[in-house]
Amino acid sequence: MTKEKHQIEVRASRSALKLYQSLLMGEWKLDTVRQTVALLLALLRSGGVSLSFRWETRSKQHRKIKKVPVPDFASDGFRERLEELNEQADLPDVPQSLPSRRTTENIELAQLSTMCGALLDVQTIVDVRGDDGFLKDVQSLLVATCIHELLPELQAKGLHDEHDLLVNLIARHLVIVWRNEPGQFFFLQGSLLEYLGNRDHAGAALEAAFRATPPDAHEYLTRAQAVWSYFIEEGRLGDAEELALRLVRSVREDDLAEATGLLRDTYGYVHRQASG
Amino acid sequence: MRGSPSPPGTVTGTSRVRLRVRCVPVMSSTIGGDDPAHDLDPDEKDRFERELRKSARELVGRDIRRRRRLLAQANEVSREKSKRAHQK
Repeated sequence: MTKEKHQIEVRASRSALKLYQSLLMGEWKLDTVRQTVALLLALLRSGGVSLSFRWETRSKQHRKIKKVPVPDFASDGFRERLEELNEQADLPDVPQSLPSRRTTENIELAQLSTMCGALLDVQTIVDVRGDDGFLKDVQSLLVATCIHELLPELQAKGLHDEHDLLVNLIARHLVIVWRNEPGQFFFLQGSLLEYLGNRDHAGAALEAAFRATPPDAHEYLTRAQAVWSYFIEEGRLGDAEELALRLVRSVREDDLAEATGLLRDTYGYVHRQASG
Repeated sequence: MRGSPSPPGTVTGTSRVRLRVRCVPVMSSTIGGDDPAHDLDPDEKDRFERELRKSARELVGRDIRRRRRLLAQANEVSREKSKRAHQK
């Protein structure tokens, strides 16, 4: 028998919305992760709960989250992509236990990564109602800032176990929370795979994100540029050109200058490559 | 805190990874309600997003880490704009 999850109703306060906006528009750094964590904790408190957590040591074998569950209601295309990515998943092992850290800086970083993992895992413990969409928005910001700020910092400071665990928790969070929004799911997954150095699969995920985004969506040009950049950096200039041409034909009038700019840049790269 | 009694309404769950989370009831101190008046000017967001993409374009192949970060930020801003547009 499945145990029914506890239901909470969160509410976004004015100060929470303001903080979210400022984090979204400010320069991202490690402190952005800390503030996003604080925002999520406050949001959960608005639902009448406070999180406390601790890590438990595992006495058995290493366990690796290699595969992400494919939801029953996934479309054929989404299912195909997930199954393909499952075969190619290149996530690090989940550590057997987390070591004690000694320096103040490392302790703070380890605690921060623990909190991030817990906050990305909330939906597996409780059923969130109310402003749950806002909670997801803030979690998305947390995922993005973890990938770009916290994970590199953990790695640089040698906190590899915390790093590997957080990578796995992010991967799982994406499937649990974003499976119904393929555009965002694949974009975040592509970002994670790019970070992990899995260039081929990252490119495939970014392309899937672009394909899942309609031309009239605000994300269209941003996701297109992510794919275009990937093509350029991989030396796939023909694909970059094809994409830029497609954009010129499909973007909104407001975005035409940017799309044309991408096409112009593409020819600049083609010219530089031709002239050696 | 194994062994200690949990406050009424406490929910404890263990994820498949190893994460143990306790949700303890607290008094809410926030004022509810999503107030669109606190949203930023859409034109400002639009400019900011274009600026991020422009900077990212200049970094292609040169500073890949920063380029990715700028596009990730632009994606979050774009998403937020799309959501607002659908709510109207």
